[in-house]
Amino acid sequence: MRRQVILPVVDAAIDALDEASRNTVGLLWSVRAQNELKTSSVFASLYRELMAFGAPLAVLEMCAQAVSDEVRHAILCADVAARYGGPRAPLQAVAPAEAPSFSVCSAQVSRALFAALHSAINETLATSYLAACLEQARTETVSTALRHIIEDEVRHARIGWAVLASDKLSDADRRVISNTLPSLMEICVSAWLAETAYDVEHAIVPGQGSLCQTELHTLVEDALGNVVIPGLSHVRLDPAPTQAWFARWPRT
Amino acid sequence: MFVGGSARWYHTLVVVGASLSGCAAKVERSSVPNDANAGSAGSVGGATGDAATGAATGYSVTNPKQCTFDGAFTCADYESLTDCHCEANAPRAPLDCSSPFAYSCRALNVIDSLPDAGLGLTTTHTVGCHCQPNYLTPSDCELPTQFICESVEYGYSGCRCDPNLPQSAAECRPGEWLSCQSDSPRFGCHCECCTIK
Repeated sequence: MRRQVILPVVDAAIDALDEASRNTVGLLWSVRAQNELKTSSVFASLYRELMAFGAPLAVLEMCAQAVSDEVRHAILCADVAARYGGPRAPLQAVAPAEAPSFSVCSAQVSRALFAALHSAINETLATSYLAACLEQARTETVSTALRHIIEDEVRHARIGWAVLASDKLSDADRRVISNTLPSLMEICVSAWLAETAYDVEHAIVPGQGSLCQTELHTLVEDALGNVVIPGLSHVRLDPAPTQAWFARWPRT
Repeated sequence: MFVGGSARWYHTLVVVGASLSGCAAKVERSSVPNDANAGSAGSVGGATGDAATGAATGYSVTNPKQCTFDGAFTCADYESLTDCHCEANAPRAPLDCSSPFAYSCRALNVIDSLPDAGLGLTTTHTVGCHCQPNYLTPSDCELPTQFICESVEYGYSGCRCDPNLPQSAAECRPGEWLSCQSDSPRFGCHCECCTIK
């Protein structure tokens, strides 16, 4: 295990919350713990694909590390959930994730799209999201956990950007990827916004590690417009199809 | 509360991530000790997480991010960061030199502080890239497999011909294995053993 994180033994800000709020936040962090475990499984699948892709050793190393990072995050999130007073939620076993299938693509493009979806787009959104949560955090426990997770998410996002920048992709591959990206954006963004269906159902407790739906929508828009889409040009992809998709995206 | 400011992540995620597909993609990570001038990681701290500022050349800079690409960041001394500048003619990739084996860079650790998030991330940047005027290639050796470099992780540096290099795993002692800096072409092979430090 690469790093340990020590949560505060006593957190008066948590103790000050009423029981209903603690239960709500505890449940949210339990769900997050389970999601982190699922993400570990996806990185394990991505690792195999990146090996076949011919990714540089440094990228493979980061991806392999991400598998254990996410398990550590799952344990950490479960610890945070427990700090909010609920019983430690047992982490459920996760089915091994399979690499997504992109039927119109070559195997190499398919691998790059997997990295784009799961790492470049998703982990970039995750980094921005968790950083926003950290800025709002009102308890030392949540701040400590989020800070620890973000430091790893940064590395996880870099994996995808490294793959998209790779010389292993031909110009033809890049054209296919550029034209497929709007669909990936739609999938990823929809998943992110759907996550908040849970949050909306269970009223958000401010400063405890999540954002309300309006804030999340703003955050996603900001991250897409200022990081993800500008990043496409940097890795020699044509941003035009994604920009067109983004122009149609409902603004807050 | 306003939620935004994602732009601060651009350099840290996209630019640094993309740079991971840069140097030395086809060579093995060397376990040969680096010399003092190549491949070793110095450090610079206190840099901000801002995006690269564009084509800064010809004047003193203190951080690779001030150059258009990390490899252009060149210093007289990387430990003290003396006389650093952005070298306009620095090669971006091995193929920018007359031979890939002429391409040489070094590592520099940079601490990216993100004060708003209270984070400090240490990232290794490949800096000081240049085309070496005098360089060896595997074909300069009597046998290409006699070619070995002090460092192949950040370009090639300290390369030489060594007729005493093992050519096959059979030449290694029990408990050792043959590790090569490159498999195609094959060079830089040496016997390694597992040590506990």
